[in-house]
Amino acid sequence: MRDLDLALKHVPLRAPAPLFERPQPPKGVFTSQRGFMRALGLLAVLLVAVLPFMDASRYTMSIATSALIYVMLCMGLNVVVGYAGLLDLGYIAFFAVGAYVSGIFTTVLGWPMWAALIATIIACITAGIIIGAPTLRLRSDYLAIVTLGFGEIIRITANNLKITGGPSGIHGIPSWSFGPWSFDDGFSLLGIDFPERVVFYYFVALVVIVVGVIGAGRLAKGRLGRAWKAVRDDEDAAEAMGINTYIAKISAYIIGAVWAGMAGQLMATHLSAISPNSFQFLYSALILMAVVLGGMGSTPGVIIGALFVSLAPELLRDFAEWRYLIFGVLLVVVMLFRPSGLWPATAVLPWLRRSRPTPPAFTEATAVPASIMESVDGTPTTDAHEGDRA
Amino acid sequence: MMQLIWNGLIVGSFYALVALGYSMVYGIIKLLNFAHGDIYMLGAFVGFFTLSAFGISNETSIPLLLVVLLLSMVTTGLIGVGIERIAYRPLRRSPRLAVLITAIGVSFTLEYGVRQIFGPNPEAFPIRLESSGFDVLGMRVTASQIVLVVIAAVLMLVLAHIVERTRQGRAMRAIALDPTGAQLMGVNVDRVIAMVFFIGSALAGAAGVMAGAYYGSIDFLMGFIIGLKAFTAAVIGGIGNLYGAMLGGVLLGMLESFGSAWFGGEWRDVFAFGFLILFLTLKPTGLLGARVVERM
Amino acid sequence: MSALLEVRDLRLQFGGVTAVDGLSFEVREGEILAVIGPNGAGKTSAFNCISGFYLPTAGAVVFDGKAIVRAVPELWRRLGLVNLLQSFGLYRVLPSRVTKWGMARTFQNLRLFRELSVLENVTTAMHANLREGFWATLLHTPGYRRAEAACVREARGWLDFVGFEDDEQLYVTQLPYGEQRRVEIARALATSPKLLLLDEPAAGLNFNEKQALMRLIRKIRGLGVAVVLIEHDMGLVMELAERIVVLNYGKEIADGAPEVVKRDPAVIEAYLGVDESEDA
Ligand SMILES: Nc1ncnc2c1ncn2[C@@H]1O[C@H](COP(=O)(O)OP(=O)(O)OP(=O)(O)O)[C@@H](O)[C@H]1O
Ligand SMILES: [Mg+2]
Repeated sequence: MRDLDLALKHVPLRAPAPLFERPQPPKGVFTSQRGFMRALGLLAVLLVAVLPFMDASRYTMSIATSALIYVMLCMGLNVVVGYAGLLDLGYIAFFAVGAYVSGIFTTVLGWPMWAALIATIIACITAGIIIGAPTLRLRSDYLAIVTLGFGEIIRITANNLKITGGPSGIHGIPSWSFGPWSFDDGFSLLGIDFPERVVFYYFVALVVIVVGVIGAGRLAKGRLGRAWKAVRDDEDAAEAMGINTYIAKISAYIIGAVWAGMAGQLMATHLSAISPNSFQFLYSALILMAVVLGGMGSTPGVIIGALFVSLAPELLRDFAEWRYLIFGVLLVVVMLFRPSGLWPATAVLPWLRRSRPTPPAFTEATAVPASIMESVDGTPTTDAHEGDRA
Repeated sequence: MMQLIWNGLIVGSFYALVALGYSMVYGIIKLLNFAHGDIYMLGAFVGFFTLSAFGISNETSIPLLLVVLLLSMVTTGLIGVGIERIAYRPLRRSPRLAVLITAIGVSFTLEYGVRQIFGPNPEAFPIRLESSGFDVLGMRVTASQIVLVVIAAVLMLVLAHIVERTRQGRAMRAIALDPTGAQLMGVNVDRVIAMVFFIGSALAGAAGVMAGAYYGSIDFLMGFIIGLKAFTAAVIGGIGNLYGAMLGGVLLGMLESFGSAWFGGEWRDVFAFGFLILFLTLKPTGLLGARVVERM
Repeated sequence: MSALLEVRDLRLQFGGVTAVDGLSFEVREGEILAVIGPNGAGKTSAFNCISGFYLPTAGAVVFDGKAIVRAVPELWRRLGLVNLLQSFGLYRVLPSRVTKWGMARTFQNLRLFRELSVLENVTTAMHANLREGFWATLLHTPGYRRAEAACVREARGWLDFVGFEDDEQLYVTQLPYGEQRRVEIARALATSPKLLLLDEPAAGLNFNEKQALMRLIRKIRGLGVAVVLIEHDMGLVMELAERIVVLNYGKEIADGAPEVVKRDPAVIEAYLGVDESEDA
C-alpha cells in the first residue's frame, strides 16, 4: 500500500481492496480504440509531413500552413468548449493578443522571438484572468457574451491605437532565427530546395499540433481533464465531489487562451504582417463551428472540422460565396439532430462496440435538467410515497 | 451637455426596444437569444423590401413610417415565433451550451441569408425623416427624433400594460418564476413562450425600422453590435426585468453618448463593453434585478 | 461521543418562503441519522446548507470542528457587498471545500456525470485526494502513472464495495436506475468522507434493491462513516435509523429514537395532515 500513500494525499477513509482483478485491456492496433487512434494519428502525421515534398509551391504551403494554424486554434477552443463546456465566442481575441504582442515586441521593441513568445504567454494568461475571473463564477451564458464583447474590445483597440499600427496593422515581423540562421534563409534537403520560409512554419505548426494533440489527450485523461468534464456535465455534482469548479473552469480557459496566443504568434511570424481585420467575430464563430461540426471534446472530430472549415472554401470556389449561410444552417441542423458532431467524443470503433449501444453525447433524454422545466427537485418523490404507505 | 443627454436618449430608446426582447426571452426560458440583434436587422430589411416593392424612395411621411413599422413588427414577430418553433423548442431540455450554439447558428443564418438576398453592401432606407430641427434648452432637436422617442415610449407602455394587466402577461410572469408550477396550473407554456418571442421580435423589428429611418442606411451586419449593446443594457438594468431593460437601454445610450464625447467616438463600443464587464463583476444582478438562488 | 456535525438554529429564506426555520441537531461519529418530513418540509434545503451549496440566512453549521457557515463582518453587510464577496468565494466555505473536509453527499435527483464512464465517475470523485500535477500529467511521469493506478484501484474497490457488478466502462446512462444509485453512492464514498449525506437514496428502488441498500448503509457505517439520510420510506427509516429528526414547514418537530418519534403526536399530525391535503 505504499504506492497508495504516495499517490493519495492523507485520506481518512480507504476503499477496501477490489474483490477481483480486472483483466488488462487489449492494446493492439485493431483490438483497442487507443491503439487504432494512435496508428491513425501516425498515418495522418506522415501524410501531412510528406506534402511539401510533393508540392512546395508558395500558394499550397501558405494555405496548408493556415489550415494547420486553424487546426491549432480549434484544438485550443476544444479544451474550453469541448472539455470544460465553456462557450467562448471571442476566442480569436487571444489569437489577436498573441499576434499583436509578438508583433509589437519584435518590431517596435526589437526583442528576439523567443522573448516575445514568453511575453505572449504572460499576456494571454493575464487577459484570460481579466475576462475569466469575473464571469466564470456566473452562469455559463454570461461568459459567452462577455467573451464576445472582449473580442470586439481587442479588435477595436487594435484598430484605434498607434502602437498596433491602426487599421493597417503591423508589417515586417521577423522570422524565428537561431544564431545567424533564420527561417528566411531556407535550405535544401534530398535535392529538394526549400527556399520558402512558409515551409518551415508548416513543419513547426505540424510539430506543435502533434505535441498539442498528445498533451490535450493526456490532460483530458488525467485528474484535471476529469474535473473539466465533470464540470461540463454537472457543475453542482462536480462541486460536491470536491472539485473547485471555479478553478477548474479558469484553468481550462487560461490553457485555451495561452494556446490561442501561441497560434497567434505562429501566424504573425508566418505571415509577417497582421491587421485588425483578421480578428473579427466572424473568425471566432468559424472556429466554434469547426469544433461543433467535428464533435465537441473529440480530437479527431475537431481536426476534421477545422480542415473542413478552413479548406472547403479554397477547394470549392462556388462554395466560398455561400459558406457562411451554409455554416449557419449546418450549425442549427447539427445541434438539432446530431449534437455530438461528426465524430463524437464518445464514438467507439464499430468492431469494438459492446453489446449495449453507446449513447449520443447528449439527447433530450440524457440531458441534465438545467434550464426550463427544471424538475422541482426530483422526479422520484411520488414513488417514495407509494412506499410510504405500503 | 443637454445635447449629449438627448442624443443618448434616442440611441438608448433603440437599445431599450431591443433589450426588452432579450430580457423577456431570457426571463422566461433563460436563453440568451443571440439571434435577437438580427431580428432588428430583419425588421429594417422587411421595411426596406416592402417600400422598394412599391417603388417608394426618399419618402418623408410619418404615417407611412407607422404603416411600415406595423407591418415589420408583425413580420418579424412571426419570424421570431418560427425560429423558436424550429430551432429552440426542440432543445428546451438540452444543455445550455447546445441552445446557445443553436442561437449562434440562427444568427449566422439570418445574417448571411439576408446577405445572399440583398447583397453585402449597405442599402439606403427609403424613408428618411426630415432633419429640420429647432433649439430647446440648448439642444438641437429634430421632429423626427421626437417621433422616434414617442413611438418607442408608446411601444414600451403597451408592453408594460400587456405584462402587468392582462391574463397573458400574468401567465408570462408565472412561467418566468416557475415553469413546472405554471404548467401544472394549466398555463399553456408553449403558447406563452411563442407569444413572448412574438412580442420581443416585434419590438426589435420596430427598432430596426426606426433605426433605418433615423440613420438612413441599413446592412446585413447592423444587428450584431446592437445585439451586444442590448444585452449590455439588459444586464445593466437586471436581466429578466422589463423596466430594467428600459432603464438599462436609456442609461447605456447616455453613457455612450458621454463616453464618445470624452474619449472619442472610436472608443464608444469599447466603453460600452467595458461597462458590461464591470457590471458583471460588481453587480451581476443589475440595477433592478433581484437575486435568485438557483434551484439545485 | 463528540458531535461530528452540529447544526444550530439554521434558517434559510427564499424571498418570502422560509424553507428551513430554526433547525438544530447534531450527528455523532459513526451513527445513522434519518431526516424525515412531508414534501417541501425543507429537508433538501437543509442538506444544501450543510454541504455549502446554499448560504443560510442565519444559524451555524460546524463540521468536525470547522465552521461551514462563516460570519460576515457587519461593515460588508452595511455596504451591501455580502453577495459580491461571497460570489468570489470569500466569507463562505465552498461545497468542494466541505467535501475535502470529509462530508460527501448524493442528490435527490440522480446527478451522475453523463458523459463519463462508470469508472471515471468514481475516479473523478477522488480529485481532491489525488497527487497529480499539471506537468506530471503532461509528461506522464512515474508519479503520475502511480497515482492513476492507485486511483483506479481505489475506484474499483468502491465499486465492488457497493456491489456494482456491471461493466465499469459503460456510460452511466446505459445502466438501470438502481445501478446508477449504487454508482452515485460509490462516487460519494470515493471522496473518502467521515459523514455521508444521502438524499432519498431509496426513491424509485424496488423491494430487493431497498434491502440491498439497507445492507449497504450498515456496511458504510461499519467503516466508521456516519450516515445522514433523508427518506420517505418509513419502513426503511424505522429499521435503519438510530435517531430520527422530523421536519415540517422548515421547523423541527421531533428528534429522538425511532420508537419515540413514531409515537410523537406532533409527528403523527404532520403526516396525517399532509396525507389528507395530498389526496385532495
Ligand atoms: N432555490 C430555491 N428557490 C426558491 N424556493 C426554493 C428553492 N429551493 C427550495 N425552495 C422551496 O423551499 C421549500 C423546501 O424545499 P425542499 O426541497 O427543501 O423540500 P424537501 O423537504 O426536500 O421536499 P421533498 O420531500 O419533496 O424532497 C419548498 O417550498 C421549495 O419550493
Ligand atoms: Mg428533497
